[in-house]
Amino acid sequence: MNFQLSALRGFLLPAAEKLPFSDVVAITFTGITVVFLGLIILIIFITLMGKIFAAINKKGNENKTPPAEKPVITPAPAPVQTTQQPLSDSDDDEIIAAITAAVAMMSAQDGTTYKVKSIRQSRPSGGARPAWAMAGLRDNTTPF
Amino acid sequence: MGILEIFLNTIKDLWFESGFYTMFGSVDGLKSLAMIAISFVFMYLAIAKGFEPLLLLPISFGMLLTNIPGAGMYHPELWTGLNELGEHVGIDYGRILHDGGLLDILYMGVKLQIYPPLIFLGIGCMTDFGPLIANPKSFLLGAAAQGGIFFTFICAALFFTGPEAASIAIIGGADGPTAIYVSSKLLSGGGAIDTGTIALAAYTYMALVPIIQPPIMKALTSKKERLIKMEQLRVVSKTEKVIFPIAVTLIISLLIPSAAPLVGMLMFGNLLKESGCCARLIDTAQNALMNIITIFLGISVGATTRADKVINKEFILVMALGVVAFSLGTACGVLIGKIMCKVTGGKVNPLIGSAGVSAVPMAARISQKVGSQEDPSNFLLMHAMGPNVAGVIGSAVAAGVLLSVIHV
Repeated sequence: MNFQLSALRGFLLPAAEKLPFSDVVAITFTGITVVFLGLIILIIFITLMGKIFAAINKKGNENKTPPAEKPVITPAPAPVQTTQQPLSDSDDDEIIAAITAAVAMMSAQDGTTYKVKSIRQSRPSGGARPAWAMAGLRDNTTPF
Repeated sequence: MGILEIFLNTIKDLWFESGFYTMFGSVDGLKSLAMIAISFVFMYLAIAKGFEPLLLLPISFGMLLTNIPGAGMYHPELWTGLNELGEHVGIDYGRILHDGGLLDILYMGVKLQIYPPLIFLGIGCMTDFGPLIANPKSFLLGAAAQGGIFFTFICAALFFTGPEAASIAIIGGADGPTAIYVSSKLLSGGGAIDTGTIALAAYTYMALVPIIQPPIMKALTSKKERLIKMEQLRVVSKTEKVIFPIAVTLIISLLIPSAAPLVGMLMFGNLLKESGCCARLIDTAQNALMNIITIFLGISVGATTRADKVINKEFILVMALGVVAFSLGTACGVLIGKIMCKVTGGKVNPLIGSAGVSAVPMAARISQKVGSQEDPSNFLLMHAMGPNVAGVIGSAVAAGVLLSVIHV
């Protein structure tokens, strides 16, 4: 085996210019270990960070008093099923603003007063994606 | 008579000085001619076949320019770090500025490790690490795919010196700037391969990712595994996205300081993006700056592909080892994906493991494509983006490790 290796290693360069095989294996083993170690530290950090932020968000939502008689909103026409997570982010604030604005428009058109009590993310039963979500995803992934 | 003689002598001198005379009048000239023909092949691949054209086209044109006899745009002898007596004295940048050609001056940005980190800055501005933050276990897949680098290192070390083997192995990271960063630091230009050789192999295979990866992914997974639908990722808050680049920079740079230039600039770009307060800087970093650096990087790296670096058996070996590196990286990612699938009770589709090689977003789109071939309603793209961007960080870390342990 050693003879074969040295013959192979002598194919292009004098063996003296190459790393000893034991060094090569050591570098490989060290390299993989360090890469995994570095990224595992990141996994631990990010997981902890995610848990801390989830806890903070949960606490924030519990402390929030329900908004006092906001102008709008109705009982949702169709039963809404799965709740994902409470909407809390600045992005989500924009979504809430868009939804309440749409409901306010409805209110102005038909003269009925609606009250928004909560906004929950819904999905059709069975875990399938809504048709619009499917269309959007296809649109973004099929040109490839 | 005197006028005619002067005219004829001038024409004769011009002919002897011309590239045509050199090209057809010596073996080296014929090699240059062959290299120009090879540059046409790469130009064809970039223009007609769309093989990573943004980099392969500048690289192939750099190859054309550097192989024009007598043009003097690039001088490999200035980069060996050897003096007239053959003693190693290090690269004399003053001499390069004084005697170098246009491509020598541009190549300083590669040799001084300026361009790749600036490319990473632009990539950071364009990358959304949200899928990775939402599912941090994706880091394991990004780490696993770096196995391609290290296992290829073993194969390459059978034929090449340590620095050369490391430069070839980094092709497995599927990350062009990282490959150029490592090879420009480790290769002196005096050996059989140079940075241009590595860049050619890296960008050619990155363009071939859609051909190389799917057969390996299908061979290593069962139909049942490919059909797995993954749970929707959680929403990641802006605060988490802002903390992420700062934390990654600190953790990785403290652990592997030699990875700091690449990881630091990648994360700086991402911080600019996520901070939401630096629109002008983001615009410059991801557009104008990135484009300028891409041109400089491509054409100057292409300049290192002289005939003696490409028309040799080492180049064929580099290309062969490049395929091995990509294939092993893909296989390692998929295999760890299979383990994660078993451990989580079938919640992870192993196809996303192949995205751990850092060709962003191509590798993630391959996962999506192979998954949707089994079930058109299965969308793996966002799940694969996690390992994909983890692969960028992973390959930068692997580069740092190689630079730490391999000494020139």
